[in-house]
Amino acid sequence: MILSLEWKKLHRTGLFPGMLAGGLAAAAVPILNIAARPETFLAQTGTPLSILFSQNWSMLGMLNLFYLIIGACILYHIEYAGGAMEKMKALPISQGGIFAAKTLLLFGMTMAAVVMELLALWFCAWHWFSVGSEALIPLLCELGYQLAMLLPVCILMNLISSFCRNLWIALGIGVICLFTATVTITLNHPFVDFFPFSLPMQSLTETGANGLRFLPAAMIESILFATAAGISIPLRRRLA
Amino acid sequence: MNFLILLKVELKKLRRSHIIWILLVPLIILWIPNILNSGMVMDGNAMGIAPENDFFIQAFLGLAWFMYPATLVIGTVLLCQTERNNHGLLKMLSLPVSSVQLCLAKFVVLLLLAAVQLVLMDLMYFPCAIIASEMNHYQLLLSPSLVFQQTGLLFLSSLPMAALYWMVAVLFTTPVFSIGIGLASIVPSVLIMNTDLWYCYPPCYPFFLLTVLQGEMSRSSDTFLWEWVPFLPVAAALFAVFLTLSCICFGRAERR
Repeated sequence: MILSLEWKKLHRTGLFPGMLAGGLAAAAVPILNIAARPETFLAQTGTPLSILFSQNWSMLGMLNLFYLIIGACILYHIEYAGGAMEKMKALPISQGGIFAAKTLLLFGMTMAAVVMELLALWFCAWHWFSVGSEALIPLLCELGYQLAMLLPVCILMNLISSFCRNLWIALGIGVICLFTATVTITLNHPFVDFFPFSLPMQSLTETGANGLRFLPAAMIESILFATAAGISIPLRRRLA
Repeated sequence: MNFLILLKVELKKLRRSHIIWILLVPLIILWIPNILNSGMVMDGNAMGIAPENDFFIQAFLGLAWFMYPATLVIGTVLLCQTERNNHGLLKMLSLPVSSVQLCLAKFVVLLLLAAVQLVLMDLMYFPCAIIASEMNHYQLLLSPSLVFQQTGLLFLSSLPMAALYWMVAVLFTTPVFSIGIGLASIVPSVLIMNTDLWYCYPPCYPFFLLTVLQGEMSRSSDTFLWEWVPFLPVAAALFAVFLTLSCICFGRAERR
């Protein structure tokens, strides 16, 4: 019930069409990239999918994170904008339930964008490398991997957004976290690799079996952030 | 009301916005890995760039390619949202104030925010370069005139981009689209820089400028070329078009 209520609230924000448009724009990136210079792609060694991912995923992963940050900011911005949060608190609806519903919606919308990007990569593999249905299994694995990588940052970003009354503060924190992930990548420190905002920048196709060690890390981070949300949301209400 | 008073009013609105932290924190985050990694610039690289130049350019490239454009987008969100709360813009438009002047005043505030970030970046460069010099026993500090000159050029080259983001923020009153277009436009700039039509894409100007500087400093053969002739007229025309459109459309949703 809360889920459908949250979905209804999104109607006039344009978030869902925005996410779809964003997903389409992101899907256009690999296609335009290879269409502009097919010879650079075809000259490389490696499997078609690994070439395509190494050339595109750094951009696509970043776009996904941008969409996720914007989505999280908007989901809570609509609560703060007209004092809606105060009204929600007066209703017999749990704040934690609202948080869970918002996170689920955000996760679903980001998933739609990821699916579109992977379909575009499949199209590239089919059109330029004449790879057919044998790419299906690796791409499905990649989808599962990306969703696992996006889950912790999805919960964390929603938590940040739920704390910020002003849209630009939530957006600023999100963008700064993403920036941190891009600048600390040169440090080659294990702590940096597990930073939630760095996780979706890598792909299973590129890292191979080495990337699997991030799965339990993403799991633990998700549980950690969900617990933090579960504790902080009722606590804020009591202290307010 | 004259323009300066309007500007003062707009600056007053920023007082409790905490925007200064969003300008400052990314710079601190940027400099820490650059100092820690300063040993790497000493090893030299294939491009044959001097360590002191490399130290400068790496940090400024890091800022220009992602955080600086994103700061401009966040700035437009700040300027729009402070007005949208409690119908602020509606009240402003009911005063005897020219809406064009109001729009320009807000744009100048946006440029001021960008300038503040660049000044902070320069102010942090000097102590950071001194620390890195001490760590590596090598003079990594460049002359202040070069640093200020390049930062000034960086600021000037970002004007069309700022006007673009401001126009997007004015035209799209739903925040999802204005932020989405702004942030998503940053990502493909690396791809577009490699094409011949880079001068048609304002978000890549600052990054392109620094890449050209990097090429000059390393004197490598396959560098990017900064050609003033197609660039300057196109950039000026785009700047004028973006700014005019945003002035025309400013407050349109509120007037309806």
